[in-house]
Amino acid sequence: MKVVEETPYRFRVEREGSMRVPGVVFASRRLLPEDQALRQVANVATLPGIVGASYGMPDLHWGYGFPIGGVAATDIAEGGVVSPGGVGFDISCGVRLLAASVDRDELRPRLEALMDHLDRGVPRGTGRGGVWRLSGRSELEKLLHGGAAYAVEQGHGVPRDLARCEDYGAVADADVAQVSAKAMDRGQDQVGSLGSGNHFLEVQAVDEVYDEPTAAAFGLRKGQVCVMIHCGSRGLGHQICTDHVRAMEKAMPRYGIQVPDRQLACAPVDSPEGRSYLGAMAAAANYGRANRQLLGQAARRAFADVLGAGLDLVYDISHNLAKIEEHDGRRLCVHRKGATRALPPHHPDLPEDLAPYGQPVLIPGTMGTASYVLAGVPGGQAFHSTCHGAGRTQSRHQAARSIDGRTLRDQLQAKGIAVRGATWRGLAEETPTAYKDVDAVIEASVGAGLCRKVARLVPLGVVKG
Amino acid sequence: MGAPRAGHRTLPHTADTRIQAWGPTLEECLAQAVLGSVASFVDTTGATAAERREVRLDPADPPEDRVVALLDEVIYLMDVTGRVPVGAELTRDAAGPLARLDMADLADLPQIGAVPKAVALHGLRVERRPDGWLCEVTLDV
Repeated sequence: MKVVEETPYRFRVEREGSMRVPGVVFASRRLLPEDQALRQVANVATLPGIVGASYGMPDLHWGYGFPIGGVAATDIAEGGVVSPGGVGFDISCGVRLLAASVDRDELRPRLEALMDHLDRGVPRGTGRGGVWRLSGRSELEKLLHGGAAYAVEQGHGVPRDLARCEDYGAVADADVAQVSAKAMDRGQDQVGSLGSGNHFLEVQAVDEVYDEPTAAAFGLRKGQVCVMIHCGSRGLGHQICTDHVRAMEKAMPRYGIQVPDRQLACAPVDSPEGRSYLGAMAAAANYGRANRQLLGQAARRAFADVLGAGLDLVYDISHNLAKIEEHDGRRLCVHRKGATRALPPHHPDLPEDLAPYGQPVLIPGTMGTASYVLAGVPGGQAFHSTCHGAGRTQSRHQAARSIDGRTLRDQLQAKGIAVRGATWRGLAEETPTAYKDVDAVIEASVGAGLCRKVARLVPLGVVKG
Repeated sequence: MGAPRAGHRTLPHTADTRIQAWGPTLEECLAQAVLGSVASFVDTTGATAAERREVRLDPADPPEDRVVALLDEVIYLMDVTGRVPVGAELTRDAAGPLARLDMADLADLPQIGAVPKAVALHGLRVERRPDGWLCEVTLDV
């Protein structure tokens, strides 16, 4: 595999073998990932109908089939495919940021009480159940159609929330008939739950503002307390990915498609299998948004009870999704797996009050470090995409061996960060040293022309899944 | 591999959980894959089963797809029943391969790792070796 440095923040993976386009990785030399992730960039470049390049974001790392931090678009009119592996198991996994009416100095004396409230009010780990107990299957179906909009309609939030959600809280074209009974079973009792792994709810403070007018338009100011929620579509999304990868594997011979990795199973967008997946994926995306809406409500209750303070939604955005988008007059199916859409200013999909500033992009960092609020820029690359997080470098094994969960808790506590973990082991697996330096990832993303910085957030309290 | 002849362990993986399981027969290897998947995230020491479940496997599936189908079912049962297998036995009857899973309540088991949510096909290996069978599978957490 030949990798050529085009600029300090752009590397080209030369076309070879059955690659239809080159690979392009936006990263600094220091961030350029291990060979397995670059091999996966090359594998994605073999997908039928792929246009431009198989892109990698600065937080690129080894995934299944697609790398995490991968972006690929296929031309629908040219037989372009959709691949569930290009979205990932956790469909519409994403980030929600809420801004509090209090500053960090006001919170300090009540931080432990707030964290205890959140600890009790945020279902996570192996525990069953979520914040919202749905009345039955028909209510789940309504939620799969309506996403966060349905949740708000049922009293879980305020109408303004929806103006600050990507796609106004629900994607169109959800097709519940394409969601298996197993996926429905798994989704029935998990609405409003974090899960485990790298998912979290953090109480944060705005540590630095890089662009005052944009931060103000997003509803952020220096010193302000925020809540960041990172989670997705739980068991339902995972089951949908599993089901449709299996179905596409069986269908591929009919379309004459061969892929170098089973997890890249795909079918033309314009085929029964492609349409079926996209309909089910949209349903899972709506589940993910409703899930974050309900967790946001749990955070609001905690802030109201402990501080008498409110929380306004800044934004909610996914980083695991496929979207049908128009680029240069062509209808493309854009896969973003561990990558975030970053629309430029004045894009028609942005709400009017945010349009002059570009799309808000939310980047969760690691527990001890920082998270970022970014914005889309004119002329953005990779179909207007940017990074999604810090990107892991260590295995869970290595991480857990490197530090004991209690020691990590004490270290974070010494830095003023209150921790409420589901388990000590789970906490240790998410030690900040297991990840790339998020500041370096952001610097590379900005340097590559993918986005610009708006604000930097630091953690005050962590509720870990 | 050395003694014991059947067993399981977790292997390093950047973001997720990778299980290695082995046994003198394919059936024992698959049973170990089940137990290894559960042991990757809960401590099953001293666990007692509350019920037994049977999972029918497709005899037409190759061994790789059989392990995926079995672990998919384990994850599904965990989500919808709140129970995980703490004992597993694979047999065969007239209708084909059958897994018998002794299920314990998840709420009674201490969580020690990230919870599996899906089975990945990437890097899936099931192979016959001179001393038995070896399986490696990655679980999305």
